[in-house]
Amino acid sequence: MTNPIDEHAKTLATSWTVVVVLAAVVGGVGGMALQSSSDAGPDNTVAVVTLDSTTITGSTADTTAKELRELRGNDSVEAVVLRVASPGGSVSGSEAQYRAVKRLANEKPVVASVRDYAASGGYYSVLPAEKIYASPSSLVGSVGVLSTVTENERAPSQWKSAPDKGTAGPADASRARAATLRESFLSVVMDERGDALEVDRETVGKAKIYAGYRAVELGFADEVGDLDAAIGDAADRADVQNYDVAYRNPGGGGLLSLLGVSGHEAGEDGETVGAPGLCGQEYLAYAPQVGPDVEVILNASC
Amino acid sequence: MRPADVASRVGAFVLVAVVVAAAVVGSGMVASDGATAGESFSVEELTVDGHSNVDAASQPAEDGEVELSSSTSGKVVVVDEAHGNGFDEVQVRPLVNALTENGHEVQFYQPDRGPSGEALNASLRDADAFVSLAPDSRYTPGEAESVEAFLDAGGRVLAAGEPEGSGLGVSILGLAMASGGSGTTAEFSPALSPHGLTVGSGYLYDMTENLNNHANVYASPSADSDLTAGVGEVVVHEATPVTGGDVLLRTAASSELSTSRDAGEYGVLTRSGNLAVLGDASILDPDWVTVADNEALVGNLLDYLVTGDREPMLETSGSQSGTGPAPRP
Repeated sequence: MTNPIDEHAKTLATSWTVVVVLAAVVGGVGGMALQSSSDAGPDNTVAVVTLDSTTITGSTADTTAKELRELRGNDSVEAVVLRVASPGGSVSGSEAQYRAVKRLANEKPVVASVRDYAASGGYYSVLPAEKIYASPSSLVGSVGVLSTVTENERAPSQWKSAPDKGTAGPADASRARAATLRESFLSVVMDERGDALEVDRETVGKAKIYAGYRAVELGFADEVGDLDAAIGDAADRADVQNYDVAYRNPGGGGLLSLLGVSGHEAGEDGETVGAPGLCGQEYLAYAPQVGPDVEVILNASC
Repeated sequence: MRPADVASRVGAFVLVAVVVAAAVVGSGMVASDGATAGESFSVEELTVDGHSNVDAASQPAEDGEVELSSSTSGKVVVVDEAHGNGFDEVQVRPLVNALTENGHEVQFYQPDRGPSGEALNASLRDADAFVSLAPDSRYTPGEAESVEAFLDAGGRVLAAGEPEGSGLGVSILGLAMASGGSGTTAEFSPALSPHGLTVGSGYLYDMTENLNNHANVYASPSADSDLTAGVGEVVVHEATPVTGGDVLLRTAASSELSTSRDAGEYGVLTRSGNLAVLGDASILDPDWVTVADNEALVGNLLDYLVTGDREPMLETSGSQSGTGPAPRP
């Protein structure tokens, strides 16, 4: 006579259900182990981060900053190359990107490579890089601020609580704000690039844009070169010989910006809603001569 | 259990385990470390001098008001509104208010809107002064004759313009602009050329000394005159240079002209007899009229308008003078 317990154990051991469940458990545990080991990854990685937002906004800058923050904390990333192709955008978004790059550059080697253009806010973003490579026909520069001065009576008086609520305020106040933002931008450029620049502050402030070769001559960039040169330079600065290259594109080319769905919401009638339209004031670190011909609706500074 | 059953169960076990493991790896169910989870590393303080130690630009002090010092009254000032002039009534309100508060009359020359298409010479027949701000269509030869006859009769004329492409219009007294000889003689208005006055085509800017924007340029008197009495420094906004006559206000040597990028001391106010030409119409605008010493300059200009010695005008025979301005070709 057989023991009922043994008989039951035998039944369980030969049960398809038990086999599948056990297999799933073993597979899951094994998968986790495999993933953990793969995440540790190669110790030496040069990350190439593409900054090609056609219109930098606060939202796109946040996405970029998040990406760069992750790279700062990823021990396997030894150096970062910023592949830039941006005509800029909002002053505040450009500032945010600059500060994110600055934090990254304080911890790891950062080299920039200009693809099409690093203009205005696009240039602003990569100023902390230890070296800026520019292709000969790229466009670099345009250190300045655009602003619009709109009528102060834009918001209906019957519902605004104060004369300047929802407006850009008096025109001379708008001009003063733009002058301050321009001065800040200019100061950052001189602080970051002052030793390399062959032109004085006044010339930089004229907001000219230069072809890559000329930008190198004047010190807006450091060397004519392509992305591979920048990657190699970044690896050298990190003192790594054998490394992997990981490509990241946090902005995704800025198509969302072009479609006007980044940084603001669309109302039911398709019109944009929110503070920018009410404030009637935009401050842009933007180079329209190289950027797309799109209406830029950005953060308001009123 | 038969060997075949054992084999099938082992095979199923391996298959399921591999599939599940692959799913776990592919889905990234496990954060590899605190870094990519983005939560566990410290944030160092970041100081950027360019962000924290920038001198904030301040708005210009705006005080004072436009005052006339002359004791005259009852003068008639005609303001051109028939040439697509780039201003609205709000923008000329300081001029209108100051004149009317001092007992003068302001009329607008607007044949397109008047009851019978009143011509310029008829409008000027009883006028003491004529003001043309940023016209955008050419004066006809007949209108230029009317202006000349008005000047000959002692009438005072103030022409104020803006550079081409600015918001306020393109010309002074219907002139097409010329800069550094780049324009043609045919483009000069017959109303100005007999007096040797010219205006430029670009706008003036100054990258070193300006009021919160490169196009807001300081100008100061270059000669003693009634028009610059009490004026220390004015601010012009997108001004165009003027030459000829007695140049009374000039920009600093660091100012440049947008079309040529040449630096120099550019005239922005000149006078030849009863004809004064100002390179910036916006100085009369409420936004600018009390900036720096602008209100003193505007007060002087208004005094100039109402202190002429006007004599009766002869009838002009030019047929074109009765048809209003022709559009710019």
